[in-house]
Amino acid sequence: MDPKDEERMIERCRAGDLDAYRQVYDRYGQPLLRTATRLLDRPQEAEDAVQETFLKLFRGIHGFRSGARFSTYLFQILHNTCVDTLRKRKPAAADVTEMDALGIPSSHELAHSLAQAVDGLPVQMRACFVLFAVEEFSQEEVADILGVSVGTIKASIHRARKKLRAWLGSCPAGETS
Amino acid sequence: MICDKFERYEDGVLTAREFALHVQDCPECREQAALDARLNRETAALRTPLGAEGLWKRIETSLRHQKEIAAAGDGEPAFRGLRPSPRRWAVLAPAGAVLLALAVLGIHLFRKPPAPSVLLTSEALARVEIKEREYVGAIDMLARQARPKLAAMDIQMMSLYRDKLATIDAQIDKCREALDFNPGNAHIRRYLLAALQDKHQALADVLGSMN
Repeated sequence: MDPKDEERMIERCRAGDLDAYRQVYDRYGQPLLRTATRLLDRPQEAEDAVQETFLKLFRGIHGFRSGARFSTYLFQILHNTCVDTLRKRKPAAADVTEMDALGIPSSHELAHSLAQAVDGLPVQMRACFVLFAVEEFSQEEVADILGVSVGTIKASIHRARKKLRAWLGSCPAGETS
Repeated sequence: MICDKFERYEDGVLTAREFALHVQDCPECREQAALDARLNRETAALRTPLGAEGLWKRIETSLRHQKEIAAAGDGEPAFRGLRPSPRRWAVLAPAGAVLLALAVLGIHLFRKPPAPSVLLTSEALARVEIKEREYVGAIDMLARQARPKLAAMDIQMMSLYRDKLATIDAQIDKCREALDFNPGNAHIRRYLLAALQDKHQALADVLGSMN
């Protein structure tokens, strides 16, 4: 989207114009839903997270600084919403780390498709990979969204790719869906 | 994987040209490059649109509702609803001050000791890390003492202990990796401590079995 068009869209959002929010949805709805689906691994919760993101945008759009990247701001809201959702379902969220620490094969190792393998990565690593490799944000933008340093993002993406390559290496080409 | 050229290429240390030349003679890196290309192809497939029937309707309804709430707040347009008029400030400011004073008083009177948290405070974390380093140092010393004993064992016992120690080391590495992201998580620290105790016990067994 042209930066001037985006600025106009944001202004209309500030004025409470629901058509402008529809424009935001048309532009970012799918990337937001895909990211939430990967982070939460539950389609219904992912839709709820996107809805909550729009509500938070509506309430907080006056706090958005002109000049900042709108997409980064929007994904920051989504990420925080997803983290809140994961926190609320404590036992399941703790599974990956605990299983890893115990040496039990994680869902990542038992996955039958790349999507499942991504879903089995630890949350932070998964967020880095999805935002960088799937949604094609730059490493600096991912760092802004997740609120960590670019170095951490680089290391996470590196580790995620390594794990996923190892997973791909363990299943012959054509067996993944 | 023994050859590190693929990782160096990924890190940008090697240029594409240098890596292409290296790949011709290195089957390991060739395989990694092929897997990487496959990962890129399959990642692209994750960008396919997801069905979200009715999602915009739900969002629109909730936004409309939110707008109505804001508008009903003071009968002004939605986005000015949360900003009181100067005349209202005259009433709201003293009322707010009284409420704030009551809240502060309430916090002082009814403050409970903080609930135990799974996250370690920074001071506690520093203490844990110092003790952990000392413990790891002692275990490393034990490992050095156990090395000749391990080498002197019969092949079956030696491979049994080596496998056991390798599994424990892998678990320690996983815990450390998890702690890189979340250093204050007491659960992961507990797992790390359990793994270190396992290693301690396994090394003590090696030393004890020869006595």
